[in-house]
Amino acid sequence: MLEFFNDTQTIHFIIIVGSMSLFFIGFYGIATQKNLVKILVSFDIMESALFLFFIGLHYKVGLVAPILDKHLKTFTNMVDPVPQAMILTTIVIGLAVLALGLSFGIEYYKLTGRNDISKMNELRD
Amino acid sequence: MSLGYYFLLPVIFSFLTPYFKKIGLLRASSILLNLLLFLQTLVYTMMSLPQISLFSIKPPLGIAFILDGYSLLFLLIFTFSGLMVSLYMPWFFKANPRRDEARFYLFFNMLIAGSIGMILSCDIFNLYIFFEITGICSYTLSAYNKDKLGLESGIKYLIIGSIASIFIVFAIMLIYLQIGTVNLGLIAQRFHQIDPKISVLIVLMLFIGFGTKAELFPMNFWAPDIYQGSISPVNGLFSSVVAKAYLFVFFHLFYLFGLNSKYMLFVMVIGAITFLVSEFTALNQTNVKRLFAYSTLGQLGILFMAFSTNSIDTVSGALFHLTSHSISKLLIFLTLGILIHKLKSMKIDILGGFKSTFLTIVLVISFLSVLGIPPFSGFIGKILILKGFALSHNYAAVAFILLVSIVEAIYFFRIIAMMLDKSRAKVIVNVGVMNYAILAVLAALIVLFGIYPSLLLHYTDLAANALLHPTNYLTYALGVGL
Repeated sequence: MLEFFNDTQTIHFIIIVGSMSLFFIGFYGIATQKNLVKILVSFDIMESALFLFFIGLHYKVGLVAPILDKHLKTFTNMVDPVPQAMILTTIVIGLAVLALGLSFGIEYYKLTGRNDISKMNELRD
Repeated sequence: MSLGYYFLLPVIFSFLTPYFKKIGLLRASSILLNLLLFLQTLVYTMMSLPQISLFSIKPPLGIAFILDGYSLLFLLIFTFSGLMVSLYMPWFFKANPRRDEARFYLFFNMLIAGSIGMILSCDIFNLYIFFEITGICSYTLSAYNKDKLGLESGIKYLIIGSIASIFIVFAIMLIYLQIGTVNLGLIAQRFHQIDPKISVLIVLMLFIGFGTKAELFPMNFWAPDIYQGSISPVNGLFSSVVAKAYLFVFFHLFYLFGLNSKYMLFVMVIGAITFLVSEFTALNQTNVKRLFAYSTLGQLGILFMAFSTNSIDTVSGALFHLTSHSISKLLIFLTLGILIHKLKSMKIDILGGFKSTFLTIVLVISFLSVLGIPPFSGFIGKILILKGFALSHNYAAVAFILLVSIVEAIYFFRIIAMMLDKSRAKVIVNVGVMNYAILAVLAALIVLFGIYPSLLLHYTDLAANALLHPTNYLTYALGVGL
């Protein structure tokens, strides 16, 4: 019954639909939420959608992960390792930005007792 | 000697920062580091270009740094600004004592390293990493004052920056999906093979990503807030290093990917709108930092107009204007740091409320230079841009720049009149010895480039040639003959 999924086209379709809907969930969060923490979480959702999209589109049925072990003796029949290396780096960067944003949020909350970005409007002429 | 030191030395220094027990030693070694970087750049000006530094594997597979004429000019600006700011910081911290001074030096040197990495790296993914390093350092530096305003500007910058970086990651992924490489040379060769619909999407994403960071019109509403919330030397860095680094990448990719014929008018119109809107908004600002932030945005608008023209003359003029604008804005913001400290206010009145012949002279020099009045360097830059537009029969742009410059002249002359007005109450401001030296050097450079433009024109012509005809760059980026 699940042979249906043994088709690269189908898997790519599912991945594109899934990651794009995740992307728009994140986008909706950024556009509508006022709480700083929720906005940062929305960014994370958007980024995860991109990662899924990119890694997923480089997968083809029958290929294995690019790690040398008993399944993979030579460099054939494996997926492209470059996207995976790139995504690993991007995940680390995303984590750093998220941590920095949360620490700003904590400091701001300690000072003012607020975390509503629509009320952050003291920078003005 | 390797180009890698431009990135390695500041990063290693940043990681060692917490181990400095004596703050004096930290200040001195930061100055020494920036001096080293500047001297290394001076050495590179005497060598043949382009230069390449490989890291183990040669391109297009490996990572490399490439220095061509275009990046050399920016490298000179960045290392020079870094040196000036690091010389200025000891006075600043003596005037405003802080317990977390090391934190500033950590992010300051990383910021310089990230900006330099962004202009040297020859593959788009490394470019993105340096983009993020610069971004994270600028978020932290803009929140360096951990008060309400500082944190608010940090949070705003972080949110805007994250949106920009999501667009850039998306563009890089689409490029990799279409072409299967991240090397700038290979992408430049194969960019026209991409399906036109996807190529428009990629260009749009790159435009939004880098345009947001380079403070282009619809996406630049955040910039004055960031300038207002951060400390003055950081404003100087944002204006003369960070914004210029993003502008560098914007036009580097613009010409490498061959987008100039298709999107030239679009970028020019966006630049013109940026110029117009910023100058009109600057007219009724009452906060000095916001005023000069809007003035920076306006100048960036002119630069975007002139850079997109695809003619050597105009681009060379734009590079001249960019250099002189960097020097003037650095001078203005460093002086503002002194005035804000002495007069304890950020209102525009402080520009009329101080008494110091030296500061008045250097400020007037830099204002006139930004406005483009002879004999200062801004005049040469603006006249070359106008000449370039006139030679390509774009008289509408000439008229537009001249007309909007009148608006700019209104607020600059209002400030100059305020400074020369003797009836106002004045506070005597004495500048430290070091600040005399820094501001005098900056002002002297403005006058020098105004009187002997050929000193700088050599480098701007080199840069414009390298930008518009990147054949040499491509040969190196593809690793041919290495």
